[in-house]
This record gives sequence, C-alpha cells and structure tokens, in this order.
Amino acid sequence: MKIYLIVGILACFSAAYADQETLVLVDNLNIRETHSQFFKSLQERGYSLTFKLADDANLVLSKYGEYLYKNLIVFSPAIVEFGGQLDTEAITKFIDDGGNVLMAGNSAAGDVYREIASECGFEMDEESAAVIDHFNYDSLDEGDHTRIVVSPKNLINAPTITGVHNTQPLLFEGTGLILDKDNSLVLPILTADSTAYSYNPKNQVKEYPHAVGRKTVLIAALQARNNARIIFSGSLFFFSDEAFNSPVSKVHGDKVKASLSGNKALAVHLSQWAFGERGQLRVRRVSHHREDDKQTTNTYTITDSVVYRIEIEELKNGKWQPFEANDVQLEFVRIDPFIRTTLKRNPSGVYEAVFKVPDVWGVYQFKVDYDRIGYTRLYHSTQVSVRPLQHTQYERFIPSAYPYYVSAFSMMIGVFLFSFVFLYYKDETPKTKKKVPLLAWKRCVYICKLPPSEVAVKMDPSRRQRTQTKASAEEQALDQIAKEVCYHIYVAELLQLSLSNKLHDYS
Amino acid sequence: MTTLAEPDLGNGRNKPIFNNTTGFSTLITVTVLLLAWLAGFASRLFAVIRFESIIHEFDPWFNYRSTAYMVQHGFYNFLNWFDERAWYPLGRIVGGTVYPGLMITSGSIHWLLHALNIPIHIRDICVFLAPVFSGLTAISTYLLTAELWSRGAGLFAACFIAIVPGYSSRSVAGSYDNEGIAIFALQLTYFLWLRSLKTGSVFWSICTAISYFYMVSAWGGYVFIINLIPLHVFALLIMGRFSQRLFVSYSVFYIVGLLLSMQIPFVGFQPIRTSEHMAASGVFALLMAVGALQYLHSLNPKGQWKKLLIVGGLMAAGLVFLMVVFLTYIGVIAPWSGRFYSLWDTAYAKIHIPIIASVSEHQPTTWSSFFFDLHVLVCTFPVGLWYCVKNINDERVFVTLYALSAVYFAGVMVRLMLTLTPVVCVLSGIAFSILLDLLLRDDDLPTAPVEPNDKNLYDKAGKVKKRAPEPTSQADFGLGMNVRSGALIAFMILLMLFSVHCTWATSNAYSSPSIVLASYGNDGSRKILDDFREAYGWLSQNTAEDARIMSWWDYGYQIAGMGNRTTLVDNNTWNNSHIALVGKAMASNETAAYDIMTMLDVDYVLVIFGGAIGYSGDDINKFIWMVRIAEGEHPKDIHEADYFTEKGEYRVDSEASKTMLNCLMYKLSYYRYDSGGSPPGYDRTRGALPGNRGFKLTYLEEAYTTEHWLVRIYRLFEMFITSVPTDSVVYDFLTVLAKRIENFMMIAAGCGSRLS
Amino acid sequence: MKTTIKLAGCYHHLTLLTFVLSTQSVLEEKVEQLTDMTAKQSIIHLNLNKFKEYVRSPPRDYSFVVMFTAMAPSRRCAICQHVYEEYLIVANSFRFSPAYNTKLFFGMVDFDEGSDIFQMLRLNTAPVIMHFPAKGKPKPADSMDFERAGIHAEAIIKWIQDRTDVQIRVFRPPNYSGVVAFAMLFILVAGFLYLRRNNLEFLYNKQMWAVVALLFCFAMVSGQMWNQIRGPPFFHRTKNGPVYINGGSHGQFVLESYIVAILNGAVVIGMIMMIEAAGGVKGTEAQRAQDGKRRRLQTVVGLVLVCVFFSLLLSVFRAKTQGYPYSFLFK
Repeated sequence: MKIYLIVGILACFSAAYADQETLVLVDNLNIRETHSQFFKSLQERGYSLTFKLADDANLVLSKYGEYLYKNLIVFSPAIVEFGGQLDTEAITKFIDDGGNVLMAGNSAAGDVYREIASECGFEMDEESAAVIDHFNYDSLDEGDHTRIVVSPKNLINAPTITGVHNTQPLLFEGTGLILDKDNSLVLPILTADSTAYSYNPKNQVKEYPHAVGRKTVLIAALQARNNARIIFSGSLFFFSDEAFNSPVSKVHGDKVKASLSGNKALAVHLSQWAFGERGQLRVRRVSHHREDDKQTTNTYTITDSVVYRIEIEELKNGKWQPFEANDVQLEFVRIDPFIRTTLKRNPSGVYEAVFKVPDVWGVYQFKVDYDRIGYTRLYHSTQVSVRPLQHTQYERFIPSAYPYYVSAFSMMIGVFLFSFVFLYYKDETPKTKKKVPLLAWKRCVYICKLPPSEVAVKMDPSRRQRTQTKASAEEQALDQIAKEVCYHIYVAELLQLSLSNKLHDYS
Repeated sequence: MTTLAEPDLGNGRNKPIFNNTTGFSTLITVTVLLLAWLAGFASRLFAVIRFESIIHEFDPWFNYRSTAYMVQHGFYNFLNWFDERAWYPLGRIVGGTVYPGLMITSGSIHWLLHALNIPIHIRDICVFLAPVFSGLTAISTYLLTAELWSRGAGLFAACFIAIVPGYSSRSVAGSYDNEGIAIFALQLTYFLWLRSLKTGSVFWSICTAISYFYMVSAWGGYVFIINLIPLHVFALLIMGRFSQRLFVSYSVFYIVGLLLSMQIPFVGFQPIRTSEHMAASGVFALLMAVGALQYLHSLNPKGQWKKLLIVGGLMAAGLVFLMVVFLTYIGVIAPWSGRFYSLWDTAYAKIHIPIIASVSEHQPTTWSSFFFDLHVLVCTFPVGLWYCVKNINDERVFVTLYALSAVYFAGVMVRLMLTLTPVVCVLSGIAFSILLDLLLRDDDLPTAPVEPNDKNLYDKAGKVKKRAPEPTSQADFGLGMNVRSGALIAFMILLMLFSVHCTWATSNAYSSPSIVLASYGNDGSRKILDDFREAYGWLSQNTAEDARIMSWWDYGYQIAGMGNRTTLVDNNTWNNSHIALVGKAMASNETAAYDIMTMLDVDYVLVIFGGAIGYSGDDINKFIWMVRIAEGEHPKDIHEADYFTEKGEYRVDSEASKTMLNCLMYKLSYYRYDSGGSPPGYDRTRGALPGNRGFKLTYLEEAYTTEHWLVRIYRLFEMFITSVPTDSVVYDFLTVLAKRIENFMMIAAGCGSRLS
Repeated sequence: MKTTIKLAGCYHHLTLLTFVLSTQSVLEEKVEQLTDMTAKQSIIHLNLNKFKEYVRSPPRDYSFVVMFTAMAPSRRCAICQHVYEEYLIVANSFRFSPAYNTKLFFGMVDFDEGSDIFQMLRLNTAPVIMHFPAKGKPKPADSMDFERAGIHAEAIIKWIQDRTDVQIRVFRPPNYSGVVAFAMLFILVAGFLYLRRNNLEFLYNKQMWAVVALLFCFAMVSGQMWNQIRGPPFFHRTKNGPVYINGGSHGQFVLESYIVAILNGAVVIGMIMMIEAAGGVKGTEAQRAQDGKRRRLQTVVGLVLVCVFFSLLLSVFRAKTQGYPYSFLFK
C-alpha cells in the first residue's frame, strides 16, 4: 500500500515535472503582471517559465540539436520580426519535433502571427480587424463592441480540452480566425455567436467580412500527427487578469450577468491540454497469439483463430492509469481492412479481440487507430504474415474420394492377376512349344533379308499400301508367336529387334 | 543397327581397321564429345573472367535466392516457402509458383559435393551450372542426331550446339536460369522419344516420360514437347505410318508423362485442364481409336476394313476435336492462356497484355538476329531439312516438324530462338556430314550401282555404298582431287568463320552480367560501373529490416536477392493489377503518388536513371510501359496520351507534356540532377536537357544516389502539420509554356490527306 | 354550354402549358428526329443547316460525334475510306447495343457536301472526328488524334468513352471472307483429291514437300514475321537514291528481307548441288566420263554459289552490325 503510494507520488512527480521547461515570448515584460494569474497557475503546476522579449537578439529554441524548451508560449502580438534564430520555420520545426505551442494575438498582431497561423492551418483576419458583435458585448466595452461576451455553449464539446464545467460566460477581445477546411486536424475550440463578424471596427464595412457568425473562430487548436499541440487564441486579452476576474454583463439580449468570467477556468484547462497534462494516451503492451498456443508468433496460417490484446493507458493528473473506453477498434489490414472489430475491455483493463484469420494469404497488419478529439492519436500496428496451408496440412482421405481409391486399387489387383495369368498360362500343345524358338529364329532371319522388291516399295504408294497390310499381317503373325513364346525372353528381344529393323526398312 | 559402329568421319570404308573394330570410332566419338564439352564450357566463361563469379541479370537472382533457401532450409520447407518479402503485401507462395527443377538440380549437386567433402559454395554451383549443362546438351544432341541420321552428323551437331550463340546466350556462366538445363532435358526427351519410337519398347518410353518429367520440373517450355510429340504422332497417322511401335511408345509415354508432370505443384492439374495440353490427350484418344480399327482390320485383311479404317479414323479425329471444343466451351478446359495465344495471333499481346509486350525478348525476330545467333547454320540447316524430307522415315518426320514449328516460334519471339537452335544444329550437322562425307571419299574406286540387298539404304547416309573395284580408268569419273580439296578448304573456312563468330558473339553480346557495367575509355581502358550493387548494398546496410522498397518490377528480384528487403512487385509478373498500381504511382503526380504509396506502406522508392552515363535501359525509357500497364487497370486516372507531346513524341525536354514533367518518375529521375556533362543537367540517354529542373520534392527526400547517378533511392517522410504542398515556381512558367506549345501544335497538327 | 366553356378553359390552359414548355418540346422534337434518322442509318449525313440545327444550336442534351471526311474518289483520300469503315462499325455497334440511348449521335460531313462547314470550323484536313459535347464548345481534346490513337474502332470507342462516358462494346460484323476463303480452299483440295483419288502419288512426292518446307524456313529466317508484325516500309527513299538495307540491326525493310531470303536460298541450292554432284545420299555414282565432267562442273558452280552468296550475306550483316569484325571474300 505504502509502496503504491510512493510509486504513485513518484510517477506523479516524474509525470508532472517531466516537460516543465517553457519559454514565454512577450512584447514587454509587464505582460507578466497583466497576465500574472495565468502564469501563476502554470508555475503552480510545476512549469518553469522563462520570460524573454520576442525581439530578444539571442533567442534560441534548441542548442546542439537538443531543445531547451518543451513548450512555447507566444504572447507578443506586437512583434514584427522575432529576434535571434527564431522565425516561422524554427517554430514549425519545433512543432514538427513535438513541441507544444500556445499563442495568443490580438487585432494588432503582425504578419509573423499570420505565417505561423497559416502553417498550422488557421487563417487570421487581416491586421487591425477585430471580432465585433453588436448583440453580445460586455458592458465595459468602449463602444466598438469588440469586447464580446461568448457563452460557454459555443465551446467545442470536448471535455478533455475545455474541462467539464464551463458555465460562466467568456470574455473575448481580439481578431477572429478562419479554419482551413481541407485540414482535418484543426479544432474550433471557441466560436463566436451567429451575430458576430470580424472587421476593422474603425472604418465602416465596405466588402463582405472574412469571418461571419459561427464561422468566426475565436480560439482554435491543432493536434499534429506527432501529437504536438497548438492552441491559437485570437485574443491575448482572453488570458489577462482583467479578463479573468472581471464581472460579465451583457447589454442586449438575455442580460447575462456573472460576478466572474469563465476565462480563468477555460484558460487553465486549455493550457493543461496544450502542455499535455490531459488527454495523453499510450500503448503499454500489445500481444497476439493463436488461440490454442500461448506464445506469440509472427506467422499465422489461414483460418487460424487469433487472440489480440492491447493495454492502453491514460495520463490522469500525473499518473498513467488504465484507459476506459468502449469504442476502441481493431483492424486486420492487407491494403484494405479484412476484419474490423471492437475490442472488448476486460476488467483488468486489457482490450482483447478474438477473431478468425481470413482465408486469404498475405502480409497483414493488426492496426489500432484510436483518434478522438482531445486525446493523443493512438496508432499501433503490428505486422504479421498469413501463410497458406503447408503440403502436410491439407485434408487427406476425403470421404467422397473413396470410390476412386477403390477403383484404383481394384484396377491394380486386376491387372496384376491378369498379367500373372497371361504370363504363366500354359498352352497344351507341347510340340509348338519346342518349335517356337526355331520358328521365331526363322522369322527373324527371313525378315532380316527381305527381297529387294520390298526395298523398292517406298517408291510406289499403291504397292506401299499392300505391303503395309502385308506388314501388319506379319505383325499379327509375329504377335501370335510372341504370345506363345514370351517366356523365352531372349527370343522376344530378338523379335523386337528384327521387327524394328524390318519396319524400319519399309519407311 | 550393327553397321552403325562404323564411323562416318571421313571415309573409313576402305581401311580395314575401321571395318572390324568399333573401338576406334568410339574413341573418336568420345574424344570429340569431350572436346565439345570443354569448348562449350570454356566459351561461356567470359563473364567470370572479365568480372567475377557473379549471378547475372534479373531472374537468376531469384533462382539463386530460392536455391540458397532450399539448401539452407531443406526441400520441404522450400516447397512450402511463403515469401512475405515479395509482392508486399500479397506475398508469394514460392514453392507453388516455381519450376523447382533448377533448384533441385544445383541443390543435389551441392549435396553430392559436400557428401564427398568438397566444400563449395552454392553460388559457384549456380554460376557454373549452365556451362556444365551445355556439355550435357551437346551429348544429348549427338545422341538425337545419331538416332536421326548418323553418328558423324551427331558429332557435327554436338560441336555446333556446344558453341552456337543462340544457345550460349542463355547459358553463359552466371546466367542461372531455367533454360540452361531445360535445353538439355528437351534434347534428351526428344532423343529418348525417337529411340522408343524406333524400338517400340516400353523401357525407352518410360525413360522418355521420366526425362519429360525432368523437363516439366525445369521449364515452362515443356509445353513445346507435349505439343510436338503428339503432332508427330498425328502426322505419322495421317501418313499411314501407324505401327505397334508407335502405339506402344506413345500410349506409355503419354500416360506416365501425364501422371509425372502433374506431380509438379506449379503444373498441378493444368495437363488435364488447359487447352495447351489438349492436343496430347486428343491424339491419345485418336491413337486408341486407330489402334482398335487396325486390330479389326488385321482380323481379316482382305475385308472391307480398309474403307472402315479411313472413315473411322476420320470420324474419330472429328469426334475428339469436337469433344475438346465442347469441353472448352462449357469451361471444363481453360482456353489458351495469353502468352500462348500471342504466339498465334501475333497482334494479340500488343493490344491486350502490355505486360507481355513490354518485355523486350517477346518481340519478333529480325533476320539479322537470326544470323547473329546462328551464323552459317542459318543457310545450311535447310539442306539438312531437304535431305530429311527426301529420305523420310518416322524419326525424320519428327525432326521436320520440330524444325518447322521451332522456326515459326523463333520468328514470332526472340526468346524462342532458344528452341530453334538445337534443331538447327542437328540439321546443319546432317548437312555438313553428308557433304564432307562425300567430299572426303577418295576417287580411287568409283562405285557400281547399289546392291539390291543392302538393307541399310535409307537411314545410313553416305557411307553405305559397297563398291566393286573397276579396272577402268577412273580419272574422269569422280570429282577429282582439286575440286574436292578446294571445296574442303572452302568449307573449313566457313566452319572457322562460324567458330570465331560464335566466340565473338558470346564474348561481346552475351557475357555482360548487367549488374556490373563496363565502359571503355578512348585509350581502351576499362571502367567498371558497380552502381547497382552499391545501391543494393546501401539498402541492406542502412534501411530497416522490414523496409518496403518500391521500384519497377524489373528490379524486384535484385532488391530481394542483394538488398534483402521487401519489394512490392518483381519479375514474376503474376499480379497485373498490383504492378499497375505501382505503375500508377510512378505515373501520377507527387501528391496522388503519395496516397498510393502510403496505402502500400512504402518506405523507399528506387529508380534507375541512366542519364548521367548514357545507360539506355533506365526507367524513363521503360516509363511508357508503366503508363500503359497502369492505364490498362486505371483507365480513368492515367491516359497514355498525356505523356506524349502534341506531336505524339516521347520527350523529356521543355517540350514534353506537363503531365510528363510532373509525374513522380520524372521528378525522382531528375531531382537535383546536375551531372552529365555540359550543360550541367544534360541527359545523355535522351540527348536532351530536362524540361523541369530545380524543383523541390514535397513528400519524399533523397536518401541515396550512387556514384554515377544510376540508382537513386528516395525516402518517404510523413507530414506532421498538413500544410498545403507549395510547388515551386517552375511549374507556372511551364504551364504557360505548355499552353503556348499546345496552341501552336493545334494549328500545326493535322493528319490524313491535306485537302487541295 | 358549361361543358364547352370548361373544355375551352382546358384547351386554353393546355396551350399555355405547351407555350411554357415550348423550348422543352423543341429539344424533344430534335431528339425525336435524330432518333428517326439514326434508325434509318446509324450515321447521320449532315449538310450545313442540319449541322447548324442539330450540332451547333442549343438546346441540346446530347453529345454529337461528327466525322469530317472527303469520300469522293476525286479527293484521292485513301485513309478516309478506312476511317469511314471503322467509324461505321462504331456507330452500328452503338446503335444496336443495349446501351443505345439518345445522349449520343453519330454524324458525318463530306467535304463535297458541306465544304462551308469545313470553313466554319477552320478544318483543312480530313478525316477528322470531332466530338461536340452537350454543353460548351469542343475543346482541343475533342478532336480525335489518329496519329496517336490509330484509326481502329477500338481506339475510336476508347476516345468516345473518354469524352462522353458512353461505354460501347465494339461489335464487328464477323469477317467471313477469311472463313469463306478457307472453306473454298478446303473444298478445292478435297475435290482435287477426290478427282485424283485413283493415283495419289503426288502426295508422296517428297520433292514438293521438301520445297514447301524450305520456302517456309526461308520466309521465317528472313524475318517475314517481323515484317508482318511491325509493317516496315518496302525500302527507304532518301535524297541520294533509295536505301535497301536498314542501317540498324534492330530494323529491316521488306525488300531487304527478300534479298536475305534469296541469299539464303542460293547458299542452300549451292550446297545441294554439291551434294548431288558428289553422289548424293543415294550414292548414285558417275558412270561415263562426261558424266564425271558434268559433276565436277556442278560441284564448282555449287561451291561458288555457297562461297559468294554466303560472303554477300556476311557483308550485309556486317554493314548492319556495328563493330562486327569478320568478313569473307567481300568487305
């Protein structure tokens, strides 16, 4: 018990303090004050924040190929050009290598923001444009109706990201985002109301705004395929202390009033998700084997029945614990999935499936591809080869074949008996028996020196015909003799020889 | 038969020593055959001497791989070998899809030598198997010819086949392929068949069947035998040469051979299920019918049986034919497979099966390649044929049919030159032996007319004249010394030309392993280009054990054999659609290709690019076949026309079509290519400057390029953030260019007759 | 009374309806006429106004495939005839196929009937097969390229399927000519045999069979099969005179193959002459003196034939094969 506790604590520590290095880029250092609560919550959760000016001349993300930070917070909308070695490529590479990024801009955000956003599949509205909503703005608004009140209903339905209880209205002030449609990985965390639009509040609306109504995304997230997480908020104000602890009161519509905005809770949740404290899955162990024998193997035979087990764990407040779900599926793939089945979760937290290998040989893969909003993409594939039956594994002695066996064997026996009789049948005419060899000899000799007339036969077809018949007659005669004398092997040989010679000459 | 002992070399007739002893002639025969063997073996060693003891081009690598597997794991494991490294992800049952004769042969040699404590590596056995078997082929050819005509002719034929390029092309050291041993089996089977036909003995027919079994286990060309022998039997029946010997030998051969051939897993039930084999069974049935009728006829020879014999025979033939047709119609018998059908309807393959038409050795044969492979034999074998027909008998009917069918097939397909060569050697041997035999006979005894009771008249050429010495003046009778010697010298020169030609052809045309290329500088210095093995070595060293390499099918066997990595398609082209998929990937643009490749879990892509050294057999030149094969399966996505210019030319320079310039194969070939002389990036093979250069790859990165740019390997990498691929500026420029060219062509183009 | 009014009302109503649907009806009408024409003959012959009406002017919901050709013998357009035949096959096999519908029609314009159409489309060559899609103007790919695709019905069908997703199975009227010829030959041979039934020895004439076999061999060895498959030119005309021998070893001209066949034949004849002179396999030997002279002469002639023609063959081969070192008598 104690040990468990210790282990748990250790695990918690190790988990919590694993990825703590965080770089915060700010325009000016007093953002530390204006957003102190947010940063404080991070530090409480064990992140060591390194504040740097965004145009600091010696900004570096990595040294000697090692990344100095795991997470990156960019709270510098006013920046035009990053200092040091930092630029859009560097940040993209940082993300490609698995770093998490939390960015917040505002209507003043410059092109660097836009570049990064477009790299990540969002699109920031153009400079100095802000989200305006003439129906849901806060009472503290300066008249541009840009400090808008967003109801938590507009949050994406993903408790892992946003947390469970977001009831308080949210305050937002900044630009809107548009999501790249053909990018399947981006998520609209928070969208504006249908009455909102994004435009420059100073000058009047001439052309159609880029983002209108629910299309206007206020906070967007992206989880890349390597599970790097990016939160991109259109408003830096969203994370500020002011927004955190200012009351909310809508002017129009349902006069929503709240003593405190829901920003803080949401911000904390978002940061937790972004920096990988929640929604982390991992595969602990995978095993597969035939149903009958226990040890795992890499080659199966067609129509084997296979047991596949996978253990999945989730990171819950710092500890890896078995993951509960009922929608984890297994695919048995050879180009196309041949089998797709839902894994059953047995009490010990192991997901298991038992199925029959298809009757098609080839190289297959067990694939578990569990991709749910808010969770890391869980992808595991094991390659096995399914081989056809060996020559010893086919079924022998099929019942329907027995007639053929019988006929074959009866045939053999019959032939044996017949040949036996044929060979040892004695004809009761003793004198011929004596004569036979002589006779055979005579024939051979006679044949061996045929009259020249026979030789000339080949010239004349009509005669050929006759000789043919004659020849066959002779053959018949000889066969008769052969039948009689076939126990005299040498004579038979001789006959054959002479036969061939003779017929040879006819041709 | 006894007189056969007399040698046909020269005129042994008058010298008594040759008359009474057979020893001398046997000695000569053995010596000549041994020398032929030696010569044949030696003339096939060019590759080994020039390069090294290495397995040659493509298929041999698979044969070698599976042989090694068999030697390592034993025969039964080989029989059940499921190779998951080939045809990923389909895999291939090797045991059930090869002709195991080759592997078994070299495997048993290996076993024997090791049993004798001669430790020799299996690779060396594989390399030298074909040359050794060439000697055996010579011997079997000798036997065959001796059976047909005379032993002198046999010796000639043996010497011819030992060195003739048409045969050594497939049997040089290192070309470890089925044909190497199959030709031996072919000749042996034919010899045994003739022997059994002559003697009519069951023993020889069984031997024929066994040798046929070996042939079946060795090569798919056994179908040639199983159609030619029935054809022979049929011809004999038509010519009214039916005899008990024929009956016995064919029925025994057919039944035993059928049963044996069905023991080969790859053949299985084909012999009773496919049209290629139906001729044999049909003739068998016909022979039975004719035999029965003959028996009836023989019961009383003077009855009306003769008419019945003919009519009944015809009816039986018709019946059998209709039966086969009917069975084919209801689908019990599979119709002709495409490869065989393309032999008859010569345009078939080009239209329907591009994968067959794409192989260079399936092209028809020009006269010059006939001459190249056979040289003087081309002009002399008709002489032998002439005399075989003039002095016809059962065996010569066979050799006539053999020659005619083989010469037809050789005309249709270059690779079937292999089946023509042996019969050409046989017939030329006959021709030369007749002529030299006559020329070498000296005049001193002019001949009297033939004695009537000479029974060996028609199958013993030349040397059978028993002459009575005539006292009269002989000066004028014979040909005279000068003419003879002149003719002799001339023919000796011809034969000498033949031998030097054979040596030249074998050494220059057929002895390059095509794994290692050699290039010669102006000063005659030789430069070895070892790029292939370099690349495959890189693969085997630097890629994951289970990495999947995508390449065109030509290189599948080599990647598996040398690189020991998983391939998608290889030279055993059993699955056209899979090949078409790879072709489609190569022919599509990068994005589309990436989807296909990820679907197939490809890790690396390997392309052959000869532009830097002017190597013409590279992938760009083969590319159009990839397009055709892909179009056959995916007509909606791939159109061959898109890869040609408006003029219908196949080009790679700036006038090439946009599709061509953007397809994966093109990009992988020319990516970052700046070698090839002036201007940098010049393609020596096509003799053009690539039209699309300086582009970037979005989904792949270059992993390795060999010294002479011959082999280029690319690695697929995954995209983490899906950013829309931004193609480089070159394309916009190119599209404009292409448009302009298009318009221009539209004006210029026009076919048919220009209207007045 | 009432009823009449009602009827009138109905009628009025109907007219309105028809008026509304008039454009619709125009289309139907056109389609109907076209189907009728197609029923008459599967290729519709178009003149200018027909072309304008059916092919060019909307409304159209069908695509039109038109062949522009010049069939008049005065035009001396050889290919037009072939293309027309293939095109007819295509049209018929569409017309009589189960997939027949009114979404695709086949037409043809002869230059002598509709030269103005040619001018309208700025066509200066024939034959051209163009596809006029149901909507929009024909694109460059809508005119078929014979050079690339060939003029076979299969190619045309493939192209049509490319342009309009209409799948046609080519149905060639079975070519009986070959069968008939074969049957005739068979009957002739049979009849001949029947007439000569009492003395059939000509069948045993080995000379004949041998000659036939040799001719076959010569044909094959000289690459006639290659000619038949690849269809090379008879010989090559250049500025400085015709070329009979193809320079490369991978190609050949028809005439060239004939020459080679003759050379081979000459060598063979030479050898046979020598053998016969030397007594032949039958071993008939000289009896009289002049007999011996004749034989000597024959041998010499045969020898000359063999040597000369073989070395000719060798030199031709040498000319074709780069870097071939050997030759005999002639370079």
